Amino acid sequence: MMGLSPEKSTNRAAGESLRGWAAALCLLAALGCTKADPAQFKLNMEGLDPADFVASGSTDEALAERIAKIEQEPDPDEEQLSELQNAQSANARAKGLRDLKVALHALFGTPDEPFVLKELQTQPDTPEVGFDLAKLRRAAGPVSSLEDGTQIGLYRQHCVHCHGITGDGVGPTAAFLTPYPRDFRRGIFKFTSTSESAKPTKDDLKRTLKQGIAGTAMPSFALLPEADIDALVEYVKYLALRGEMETALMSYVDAGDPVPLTHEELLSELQNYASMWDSAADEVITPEAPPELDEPGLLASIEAGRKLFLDAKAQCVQCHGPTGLGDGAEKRFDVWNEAKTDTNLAFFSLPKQQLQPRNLRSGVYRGGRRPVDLYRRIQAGIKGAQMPSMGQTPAKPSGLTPTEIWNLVHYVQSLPYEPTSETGSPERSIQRDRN
Amino acid sequence: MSCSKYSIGPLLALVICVAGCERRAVVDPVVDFDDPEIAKVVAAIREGGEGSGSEDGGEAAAAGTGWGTLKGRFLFDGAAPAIGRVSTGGKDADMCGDSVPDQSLLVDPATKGISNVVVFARKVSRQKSPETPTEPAIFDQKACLFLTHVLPVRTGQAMKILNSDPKAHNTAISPPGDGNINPQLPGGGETTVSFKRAQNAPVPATCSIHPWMKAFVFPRADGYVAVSGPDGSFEIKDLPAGEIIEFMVWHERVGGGSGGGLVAKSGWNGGRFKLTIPADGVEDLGDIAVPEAAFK
Repeated sequence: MMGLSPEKSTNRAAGESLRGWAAALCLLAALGCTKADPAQFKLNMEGLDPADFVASGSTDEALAERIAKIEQEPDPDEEQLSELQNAQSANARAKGLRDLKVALHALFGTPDEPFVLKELQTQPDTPEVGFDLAKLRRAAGPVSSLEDGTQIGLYRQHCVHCHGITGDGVGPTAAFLTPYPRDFRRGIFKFTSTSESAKPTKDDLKRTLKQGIAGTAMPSFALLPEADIDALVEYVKYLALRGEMETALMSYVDAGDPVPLTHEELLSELQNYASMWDSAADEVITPEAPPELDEPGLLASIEAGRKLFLDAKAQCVQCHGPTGLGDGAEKRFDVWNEAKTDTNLAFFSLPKQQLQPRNLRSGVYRGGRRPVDLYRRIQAGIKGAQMPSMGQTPAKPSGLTPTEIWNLVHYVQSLPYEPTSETGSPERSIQRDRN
Repeated sequence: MSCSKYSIGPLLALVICVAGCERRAVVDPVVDFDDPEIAKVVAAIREGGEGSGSEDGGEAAAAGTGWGTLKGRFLFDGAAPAIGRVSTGGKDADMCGDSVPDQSLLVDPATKGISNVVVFARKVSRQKSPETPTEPAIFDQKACLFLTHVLPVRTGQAMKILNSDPKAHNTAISPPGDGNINPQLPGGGETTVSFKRAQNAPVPATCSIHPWMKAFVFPRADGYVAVSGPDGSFEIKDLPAGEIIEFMVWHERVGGGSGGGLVAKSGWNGGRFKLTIPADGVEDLGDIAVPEAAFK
């Protein structure tokens, strides 16, 4: 550099640093351009401490030897013994976790290649029962399309950004949403046509896909072809069953028991859950239509509903508030948020969201606004949430009668049209700014 | 590259990118599904039929005869904590009052006995009375409190949920892997439910309208569950003798209020201990002094 003019040496220095940056950028780009691994299901560690599942440094044989030696001593060291036993359980749990992954892989496959046991597959004479593997294959896998335009990888195309690859409701967009996307893994769905303890039917899941859920980020997929919607419904059921099975197997691991790894044992456990799904269609609530009412009759029904709303028999006001704004109860959670611990951010667990009773004056009903939808919400409640089942059943003769429920439905339907419910009115003293 | 100050930048960027921003503690064991051993297990599970995994995993159930009893008493080690009050916030004050007792940790000031400690056998090879009881279990509520704080119930046994209060309550029970239960019961109302699945720990039952109300239901396949009384004592009768049984001790205050294994004695990891019950005899654990730290 001696003997060069000052401008030339500055240019040279600049040129060299530019080359340095370019080299670094090329290196970074090369590192980043590796082929992505195929998508994998994530383990459901909700409510569990990962530290409990880390194997101790020693093998089982080594630990057994040391325990035997200590036990032979005249005055065994209790603390050391207990430490070694802890290490043994840690090993057992770590092994159990591996067995759990093997079992789930065997029973359900991967996000790219789904699988269900043949005993759980649909038979041609009972299309409502079981899983259609062809539909699952359409919904699973990376996004692509066939020559005739058939879309493959529907779940990843439409659902994964909110619901996550495992259906855990923790996709990339979930952190920005209120309420969170559904976690399918519990097998609980809020808005169904079935009774209090039953699963949703395929039609319920289809309705949710086609209509979306008003007042939430779940959009309507009505523009998708029917076959695509069927495939997605099948895949959601599959993720739900997989999630339930994972929880069942995890209870073996957590307890330190060996995870069952035989076809018979796993099938028997699976069928406990699958049978609940298969019998959902028998639990649909089909109310008799209310009698045709003229205007005075309807007004009387609404008044009866209003009285029942305020009555101690139904206690609607205790949660929905005396004005139906949903301000009667505080600090409640649905079952998904109850399980979240704000401190468990190590897993990127989303913080708890409170459950608000519905503001009935907004006219926005998440589960559908048809009279029969409102009837079913009151009759059977909302699973996973706090809304109880109010209606009469054979096991619960003291519940509300169909007439009483229809009166309540008429009252609820009338609420958004009361003058006090109108937004923009000068008397905003009982308005809430959000639904 | 010359050692000018401009070349530190790209190097630093490279180091940061490679090091990554990972701070999550993740447990996700890597399983190689191409491994022939694992592939064999997977194939056996999928096709069914011969040999896979833990077929011989049925531990040799000890061939014992006769039946015995397990008993003991849980005492609080230290000064008995005062029973706190939970405010009702004026909800249905005529029925519930202004506050209710906090039932999560009940220690009798006179005897130091701890109530509602659950002791149960985790797995048994045989039962004295395997038939499902025909009498329903009763789960009642009055004065905005559940009358039984922990109710053991057999799978398949009917459980009657009663509301002995004048106004409505709902009883929400969400047992994992079983049907959701959440009936609204008007004053004086009742309903009957049953559980298909045994649970590993008692399941909470709550009321949405009166959120301080919390009790537990414990569905099990056998009747070998005991809940300690006000003096802290418990007894499980007719346990199968002559085999090693693992028992678990549970209390709702452990684990920050969600319930968990009570390490009442050192060596009871996760609240569990193993015992063999003598035939026609009584295994008496005596008075067990539970340290306060066990309830954290």
